[in-house]
Amino acid sequence: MRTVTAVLTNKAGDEIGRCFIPDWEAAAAGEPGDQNSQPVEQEVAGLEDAIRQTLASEGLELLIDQTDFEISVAQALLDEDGPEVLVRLPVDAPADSPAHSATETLDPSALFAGLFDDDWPLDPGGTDA
Amino acid sequence: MTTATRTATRTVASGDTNYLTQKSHLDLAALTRAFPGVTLEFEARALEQVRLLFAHGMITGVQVQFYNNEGLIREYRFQMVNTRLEAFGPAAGQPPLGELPANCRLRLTVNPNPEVPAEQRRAWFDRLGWSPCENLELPGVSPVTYGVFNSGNRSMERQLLVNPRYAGRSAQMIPKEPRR
Repeated sequence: MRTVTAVLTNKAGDEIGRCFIPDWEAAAAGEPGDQNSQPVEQEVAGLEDAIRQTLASEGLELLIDQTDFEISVAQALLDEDGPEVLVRLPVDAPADSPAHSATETLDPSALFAGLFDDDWPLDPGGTDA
Repeated sequence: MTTATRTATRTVASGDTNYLTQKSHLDLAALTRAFPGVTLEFEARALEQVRLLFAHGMITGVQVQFYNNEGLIREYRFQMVNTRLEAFGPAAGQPPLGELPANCRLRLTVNPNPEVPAEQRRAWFDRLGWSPCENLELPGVSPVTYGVFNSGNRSMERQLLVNPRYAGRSAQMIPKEPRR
């Protein structure tokens, strides 16, 4: 099974953060679905409601209309690369939203700060043997 | 007494739809390439859009129709069904072919899903650039199911309808449907 994540972008299409969609997953190709699986349109509508609720709970507002939102979800479901369904969605995020804080934590220099001491330089030549 | 909220994970069986539309896409693509002299009335991106339409349940089926000024010559149908049927038939991308008369045209049509609100369907078709079309007059014969793809609890029936006037031109054989 594949988890579902909304990849939040700005108007220019640059990623600014991600939102995990709880309680939803997608079957991989050929993976048997629920015996009581619903028609496609009902399943997808349920997932879309969950995505909208998740975004709303984070104070995020979609910058696309309903039809483009639905098409984005359908495109994401068609993409079978990787263990996640990644739905790319342009959003208008308030300054204190998780989308903005996620952008800050993605700064590589911040991620590696304090992990390496100057006394123990990395040696690409492998001279520690 | 205490109560607890229990949340169950819900699963979108999109993998089934993906698998079935991938396989059908191979047939569709093969049909558009098999007859170089045929005039295509759609762009290549329309085939990808068919997968998108299936992925959201906007359509229940797609037809590839070969026709001329006298009407339908041959029609290939791909029908999504919400049940698991026994798989059979030629490999994906190898639909039964045969010969076609000269001056054929090829068009792609889809069956909108009546379970989806008309306004929602119209918005999708408008956005993707699809428009309504006149139905071709069908010969009074039933289509033959030449194969089934299945995945999970869903299946795609592959059918062929040949106008009897042109039946002699279908040189290839198609497999019989398995007994159920």
